[in-house]
Amino acid sequence: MDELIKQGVETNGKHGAVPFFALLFSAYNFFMSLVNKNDVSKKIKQLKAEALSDSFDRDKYELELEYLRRSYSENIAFQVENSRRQFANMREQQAFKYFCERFWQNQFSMTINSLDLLRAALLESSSPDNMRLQLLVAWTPALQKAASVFGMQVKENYGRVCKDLRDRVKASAAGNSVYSTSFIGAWLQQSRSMLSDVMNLYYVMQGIPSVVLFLNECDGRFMVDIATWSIRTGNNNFTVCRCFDCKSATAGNYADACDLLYASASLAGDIAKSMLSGSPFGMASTVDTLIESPEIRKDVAEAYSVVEKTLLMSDFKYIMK
Amino acid sequence: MDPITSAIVIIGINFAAAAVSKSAATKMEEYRKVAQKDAQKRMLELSGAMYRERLESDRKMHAFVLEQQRRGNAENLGIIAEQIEAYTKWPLNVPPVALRGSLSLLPDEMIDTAERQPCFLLVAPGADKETNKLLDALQESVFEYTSSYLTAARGHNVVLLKDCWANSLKECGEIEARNIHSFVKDVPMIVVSPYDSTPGEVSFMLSMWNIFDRNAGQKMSYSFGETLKMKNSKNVKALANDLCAFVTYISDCYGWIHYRETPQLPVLASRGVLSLSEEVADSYYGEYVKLLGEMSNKGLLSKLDESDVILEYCRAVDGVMQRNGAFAAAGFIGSTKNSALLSMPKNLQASVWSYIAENPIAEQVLSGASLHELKSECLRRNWMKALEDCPSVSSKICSSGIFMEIVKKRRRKILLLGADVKKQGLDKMRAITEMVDLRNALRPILQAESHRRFKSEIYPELIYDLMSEIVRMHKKYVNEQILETGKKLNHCLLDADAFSDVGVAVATDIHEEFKTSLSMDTLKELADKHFRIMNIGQWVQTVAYDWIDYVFLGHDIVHKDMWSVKSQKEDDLFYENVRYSISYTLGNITKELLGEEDRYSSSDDSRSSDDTFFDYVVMSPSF
Repeated sequence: MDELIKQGVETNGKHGAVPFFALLFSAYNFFMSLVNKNDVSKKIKQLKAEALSDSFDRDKYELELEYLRRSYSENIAFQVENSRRQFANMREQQAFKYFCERFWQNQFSMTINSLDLLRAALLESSSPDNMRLQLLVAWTPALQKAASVFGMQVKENYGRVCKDLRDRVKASAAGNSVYSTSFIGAWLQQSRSMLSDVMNLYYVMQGIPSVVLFLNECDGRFMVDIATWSIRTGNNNFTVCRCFDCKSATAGNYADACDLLYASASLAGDIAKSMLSGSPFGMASTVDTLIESPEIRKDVAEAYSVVEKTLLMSDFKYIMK
Repeated sequence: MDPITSAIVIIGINFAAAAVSKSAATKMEEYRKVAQKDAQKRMLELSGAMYRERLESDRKMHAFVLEQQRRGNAENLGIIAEQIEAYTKWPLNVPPVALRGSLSLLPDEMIDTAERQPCFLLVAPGADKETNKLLDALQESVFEYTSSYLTAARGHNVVLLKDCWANSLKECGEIEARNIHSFVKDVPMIVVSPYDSTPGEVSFMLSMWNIFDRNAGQKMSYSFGETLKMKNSKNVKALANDLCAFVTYISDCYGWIHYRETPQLPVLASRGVLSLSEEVADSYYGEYVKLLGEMSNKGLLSKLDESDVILEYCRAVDGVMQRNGAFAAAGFIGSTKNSALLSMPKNLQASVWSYIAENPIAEQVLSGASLHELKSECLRRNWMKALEDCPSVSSKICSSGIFMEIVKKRRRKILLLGADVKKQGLDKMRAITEMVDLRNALRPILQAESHRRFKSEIYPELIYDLMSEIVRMHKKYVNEQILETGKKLNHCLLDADAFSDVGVAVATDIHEEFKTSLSMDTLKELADKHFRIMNIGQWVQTVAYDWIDYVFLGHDIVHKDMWSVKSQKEDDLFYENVRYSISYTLGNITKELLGEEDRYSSSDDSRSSDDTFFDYVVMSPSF
């Protein structure tokens, strides 16, 4: 071996080292090109495999397709809901228009929008103590009959009763009334039926606590039906009920009608106020001065004593403080 | 190797190497071209598919829009028909929009979404001319009834549309009912009109919708033109009575199915507001039992979560109308099989058994397997002797472990407050307002506010007042006894007179203070009964416990009878066990209640004595 190396070195030394290294380098190059060729084949195989397994564009396509489908179905749902609401609104508008034309504008004097102010005020006020009830008196046949003694026009007679009641309520309250009488004479024409008027009024005035008095006749004497609805208790919550039983209010007697209406308003207002804020009966003391008929005064006093007794006996004394 | 050969070899090798490299590069280039073409082809395929899909979607959308337009046209025609026909064919003085109670005019903040929808009742002229003549009087009577007993304030809201039929000459037949229905489909409504009359019998045509749930029993959510026969003819009052009973029954079904409200008809019948013949009452009772059974069998009731309201239903129905062996609670249980009862959770069993204890007639349910179960439970608790000695159902319950379940359940109820307190408040207000109609009328205005106050202010005051009073009386007595007799606190036995005085005084105070429905006589009787066998501490606890039962659960006391069943001498073990159960639980209840309501207590010195009292209740060795 040593001899061979020695011979090689000698040979190199004899012919020069460059060709030997050039030969070596060329051989190396050749070898490397073979290796590279092999690598390229491998690389191509790898790229082919990668291309086969690469699902980017397929995934992208699937995503776009999914978006397209969802967008389509949501569009459809939106369109369906949109037209449903549009038609529901149209129906509701139609029904409301019908209501306004047929059941409101000829029957009641206040505009529907004029009540917005009251609703807004109620919404802002959280204390029931300051709450004022809207007092309304219906234009009933019995009231019409009683007021006809004046022989004036029918509309003026109704106005006269309302004015009388408003004056009494204002006189009794001395500026601190449980009632607001802004809409007291709300009827433009005689009431067709109590329930329908109550429901129509309630539909517009719901949310605004109100007391509506209906003077009716039964067995030759007057009686008052009272309709109420409440603050913030929402829709479908009104009550119609007969007020206290007054035996001495003769049907057709104008003075009795006014006395009875005032007595009913007084009782309703005092009870509501005392239950809500625990305040004493404010209007009770005015009954003696503001009710002319002694018999009705007596009946009202009795009703007051029953109410007072009931209030004291009941759990409401806790509310009354 | 000479240099020339070397050079040739080197060049040859390099050339070969270059050739090899070039072939690799070409191969790579070719591959790239092919790959690029493949990619482009695939992209084109995918884009083509995408465009096809889009095209398909567009086509579908266009078809949909066209279909919508067609439907829209039909809707528009419907609206036009509604608009024109509403003017000509709507037969009432109240427009559909007011009946529907559209909320569009109210701000959102003013809307109570949980409110109950009323059920409208229309009594209109029909084909029977003779009965039509009675219609005004009939309406007046029915109106008086509904406005007094079926109002929003009472939870059963039926609004009679009195005098709302616009044209009195027009008859209300099935067509009219269907016309009204087409405008107010979602509003629960009953339409009644006289249809025919023969001597002794009047027929009404009955249409109603949105009253019953489709899933509830056999009843449909709407029905038109059915016949309702009533036996009393020409007598308006009797006719009104029958009609009111029917309407109340329908309202009960509506209230129960939709709002789980307790039936009113049995209550009103028992109070004499409505008069029902035995036959009619039996048929209504059968319907009530059937309704509950059907709902139960169809899985529309959650026996566990709704056990309280279901038992209230049974209580109302069984308590008044039960006659011929039918039993509403059996419907609740699922059948009369005892296994159904036994498979219930313990606390639900407790509810049922406490109910059964109040209704001895229901004892039939407790037979066979149930008794066996009870006996096993009693054996486990070593109360067998008590069971054998106690013949009545309530004694069985007292002597079983279920008794403790009842007590625990009540305790939970008391602590939870909420619904019970609200219900009590409502019931009390109901009872009160019956005295003055005007107050009933004003109720809606007061309702929301008074509920709030009752819950937040009155309830704690009530509890505190009651407990303070009891503690005060107890303390007074103990002090007197300690001073006078020098006996130990927890062993002080009374002589009859002294105890009787104190007991009656407490009873009087409680009665005056809270105006319970327990009469003075009952309280005195309680006092007399208890003083003989207990010392003052136990008596006070019993009164307190009775009172808590009354205040919070609203019915008479289940375990009341057990004190009279046994005397101390006859069965010490039973007596001690039950006494211990009550006193321990009561002590905990009162402690927790007063602990919770501390902020409401005044600064007087009674607080310090409370702890002593409750320690005494819990720790006393005499219990």
